[in-house]
Amino acid sequence: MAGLARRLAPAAALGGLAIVIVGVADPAIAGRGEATATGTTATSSGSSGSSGVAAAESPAAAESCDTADAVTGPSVQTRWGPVQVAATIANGELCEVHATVWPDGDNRSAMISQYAIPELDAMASQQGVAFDAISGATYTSEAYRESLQQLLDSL
Amino acid sequence: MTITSGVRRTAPTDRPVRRLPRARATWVQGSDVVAVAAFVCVVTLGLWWQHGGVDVLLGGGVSTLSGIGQLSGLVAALAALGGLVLTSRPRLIERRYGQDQLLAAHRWFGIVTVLAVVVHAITDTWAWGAATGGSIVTGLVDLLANQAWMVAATVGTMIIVIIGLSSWRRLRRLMPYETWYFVHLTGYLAVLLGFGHQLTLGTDFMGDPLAFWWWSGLFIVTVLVVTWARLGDLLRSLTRRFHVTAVSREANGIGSLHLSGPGLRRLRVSGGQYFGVRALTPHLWWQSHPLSLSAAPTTAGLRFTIKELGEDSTRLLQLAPGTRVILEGPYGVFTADRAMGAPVVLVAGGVGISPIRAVLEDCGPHQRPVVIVRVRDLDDAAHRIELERLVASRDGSLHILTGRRQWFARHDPFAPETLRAWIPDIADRHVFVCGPASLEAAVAKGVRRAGVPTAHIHHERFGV
Repeated sequence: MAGLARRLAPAAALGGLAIVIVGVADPAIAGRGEATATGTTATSSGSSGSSGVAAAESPAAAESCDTADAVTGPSVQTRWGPVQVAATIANGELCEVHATVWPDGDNRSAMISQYAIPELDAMASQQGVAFDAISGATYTSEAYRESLQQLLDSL
Repeated sequence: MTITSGVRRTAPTDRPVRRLPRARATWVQGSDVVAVAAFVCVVTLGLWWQHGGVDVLLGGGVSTLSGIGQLSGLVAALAALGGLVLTSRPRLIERRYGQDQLLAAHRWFGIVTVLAVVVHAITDTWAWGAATGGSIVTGLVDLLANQAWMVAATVGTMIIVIIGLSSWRRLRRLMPYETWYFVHLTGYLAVLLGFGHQLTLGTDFMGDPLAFWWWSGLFIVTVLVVTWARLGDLLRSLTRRFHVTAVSREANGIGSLHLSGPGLRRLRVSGGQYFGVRALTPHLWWQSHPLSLSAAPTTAGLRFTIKELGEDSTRLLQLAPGTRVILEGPYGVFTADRAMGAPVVLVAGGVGISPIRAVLEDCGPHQRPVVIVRVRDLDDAAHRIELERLVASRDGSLHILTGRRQWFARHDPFAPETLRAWIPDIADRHVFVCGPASLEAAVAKGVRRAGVPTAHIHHERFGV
């Protein structure tokens, strides 16, 4: 029996330690489940499954196109969630474009949006709809372009 | 054979001793197994592709990093599930491949799992950190602190790495078998711990209900198969009652264990198969010893032949008659029916004599068995008299090769020319080899060059 105890000990320690660590520290179990839905990496405050809505407008854009009001494009659905853009336009010229809604319902989408959206904002503000889709964020890029295109068409 | 302890009990005298029925064949073909595995891989990769996995992978920079993480995660999970199914050795599959082949495949699945899990953990944590403007360290901190099931997944990864290291042959040699085995069992926990984060963070399973159910289904089916196979074996071994009837001495440091009991009535087993043998004594009940039958199983009982290699095998040969024994199995496909009635050559080395002897007993006279036994000296040859008798009644021949390994290195008895001169019809025979790996390799090489198709060479490897 002593032989058994000696041979069982490493495995029992490993398994026991694993269960204790997960029970104490994992956000899914340790009562911090709320943190998982929003995710600190995403800028949105939306609850699980909804899409983030950016709040503030860029003050830099307001300076250069002072009098212009922001126009919002239609929401375009992708398989990962909707994309919607807003643009300021002065004298028929595009001042600035930024996304107001983007896919962040799951964490990988949030991760992709995290780097793709600022880049799309920058490119669209410069080039309008004539920007290249961002690799790895093809769906989001196309939906972004679609929303902006429909916004411009509606003017 | 001399009886050294106990009395060899036989079946009640009014009933003749009959051979037990042979193990049933399985309807499962190799192509069935390949088809199921291919289906699972194709559907999973198809979902990955449909969800834009290729774009993510080829996106460059952080996107590529995250794509590698995604793909390696899928590979790791599929390999882990496949490895679990293999090691649960469901009877339908075991009867086709044999436990030794299933466990050999399990080892490869395990290696793939460990490597893929490590790649997955590093690339995805790195990508997560980079996407949030930080490093791999800030990524890890964020994942552990804020993401559901990521602590579980990290702990699971560590367990899998520990299992991988402990199975590295150099480290594994340093610990007793059971220590390694119990650590290995924590792999079940590791796979379960990894499951949560696959559903909460896995892109492929988040937005798509079909993919979600496909993935969950794979896990559920795996759990069911593993439970069914392991529980079935456990119940079978617990409900079949056996006890030691005698222990006898065969040759230098080699003895036999004779078992009988009511469990025989429900047993189907062929010569060449083996059992996990567990003697219910205070010191031995927790150890399972893989032992091959060394004689055809009959209504009178089973016989296992054991070489005294260590303390534990010596203890098995000191068991008192009447000791209860639990048998798990039978396992293995090293059986005479593999030859499909064709003539055979049986080659045995060392302890491999026992299963070879049991296979020989299942051979018919039309198979004219040529038996080659390789031992250091004649005193090491267990069952010699029995082998001579069995060979004589089957129109075959017995050759015992004795001598040192150095001598055989210069005069290879398994050189193709030698084999052909010795056994002119060798190309038409099936070859069964059981013994040390070096012997198996030498025989396989020699007989293949002498014209025996690879499919006609059968071997059994001991040890997990």
